[in-house]
Amino acid sequence: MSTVSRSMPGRGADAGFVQTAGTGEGRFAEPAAASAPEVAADPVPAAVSAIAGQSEAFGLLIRGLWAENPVFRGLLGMCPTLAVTAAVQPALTMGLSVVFVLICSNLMVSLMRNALTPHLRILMFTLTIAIFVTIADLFLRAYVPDMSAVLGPYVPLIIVNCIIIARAEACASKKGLFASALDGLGSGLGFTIAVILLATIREILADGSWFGVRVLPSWWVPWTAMKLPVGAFFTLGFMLATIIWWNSRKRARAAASA
Amino acid sequence: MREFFKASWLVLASSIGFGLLLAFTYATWQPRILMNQRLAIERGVREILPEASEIRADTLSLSGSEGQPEELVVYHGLGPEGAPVGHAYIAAGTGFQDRIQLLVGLDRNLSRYRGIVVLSAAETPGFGDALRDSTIFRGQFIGAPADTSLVVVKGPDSDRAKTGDREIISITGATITSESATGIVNRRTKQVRPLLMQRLRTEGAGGGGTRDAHPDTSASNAAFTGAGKEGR
Repeated sequence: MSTVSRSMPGRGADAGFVQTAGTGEGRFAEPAAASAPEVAADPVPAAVSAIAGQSEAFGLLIRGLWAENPVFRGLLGMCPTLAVTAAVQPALTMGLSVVFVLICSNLMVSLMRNALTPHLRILMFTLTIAIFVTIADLFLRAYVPDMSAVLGPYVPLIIVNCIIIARAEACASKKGLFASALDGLGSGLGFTIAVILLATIREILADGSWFGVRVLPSWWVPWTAMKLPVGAFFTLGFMLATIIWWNSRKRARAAASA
Repeated sequence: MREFFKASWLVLASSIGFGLLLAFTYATWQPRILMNQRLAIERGVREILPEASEIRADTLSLSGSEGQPEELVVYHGLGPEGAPVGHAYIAAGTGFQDRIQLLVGLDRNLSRYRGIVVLSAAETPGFGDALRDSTIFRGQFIGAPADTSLVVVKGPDSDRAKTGDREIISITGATITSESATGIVNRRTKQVRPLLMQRLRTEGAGGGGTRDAHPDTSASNAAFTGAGKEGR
């Protein structure tokens, strides 16, 4: 069975996310054994190394937004992507909740990375994520109760959102605080952009409105199906197909010009 | 022992640290969460009983499912003279997708419904969510008889929907949601109405028997029974 390898932020090409074609099952490849000593042997002066580190951290932030967007490129976090995108407001709330949980859990995992042992890794990730998801849920119930009611169980379900555990595994457990925080911010904002795009299409077609404000004329016949799960699958499939088509066109042009 | 601590100190330390963080967060926000719940109920009661100048909470002891005793909060709407204008209570049950929680209102004589308000429901978008969003379905409960079970019928359109009879025309495309909501109202009213009649006969609504209803919300009952609506 063939495999598709996608490099993920925080890892080299030899330690990327490996997805089995057909089944869609994925795993993270083991890191290269030589990667750790490379740092100690680096002859570059400390100041230059720090600048390089910052540049790498900002690279993690930028890549998470689009080039390695968790939804469009990693196909991660599909449950909330499909479930809470019937309107833009709940999608934005979910996106910001994921940003908060990603940044906090990445920071915490990065803090404890030197004490993590292989058999405790997943346990500690889950424990850390669960705490920050509970805090996010309590915050929504206290300050945005209407939105909390709309999102229902999907906020507590962030605990099992694979984007967060993937970033903890791929980046935060190996990188410093600054890089981990920016990685969490980038992936979280990438997720937020994806769900808002999806919700924008669905809300406009289903209700003729965006953010609750009417944007289509009154003669517009609402596409009720866009509010239903079928609308979510259809829109996501359409967007993924468009992105794949766009990328292959770009690759073909690059190959032709070369 | 040393091996145990060596292998698990991180989990133990994190559990204690995270537990304290969670306890602090919960203690900080819990009063606000309870206040939100109380305000949602208060808004619902005021929607059902707009003429009530004061709302008082009372508890009824019911025998719940499987014979377990259950404490139910009943909200009595009182007029300017202190006379009851109606009563409301929470009814909940399973809907099509998720749990439905309703606030059910009865008139002062407990003979007719004053209406229902949806406190929480997550029914199918575009269909079952009309339970919350549309007033046509909920409007049929206003004036419906409370001494008999309401029945759901399928209608060609909502024009047939009228108030005052025991027929509730289902929401188009959401028959299960309509039947669930109506069943929730019927079951709870069947439990509550006889006890409430007995209570009102002996004590009078909002009279000597009225007391803080819910242990969690007792701190804020003063505002609930207070005169001012401003600030809410």
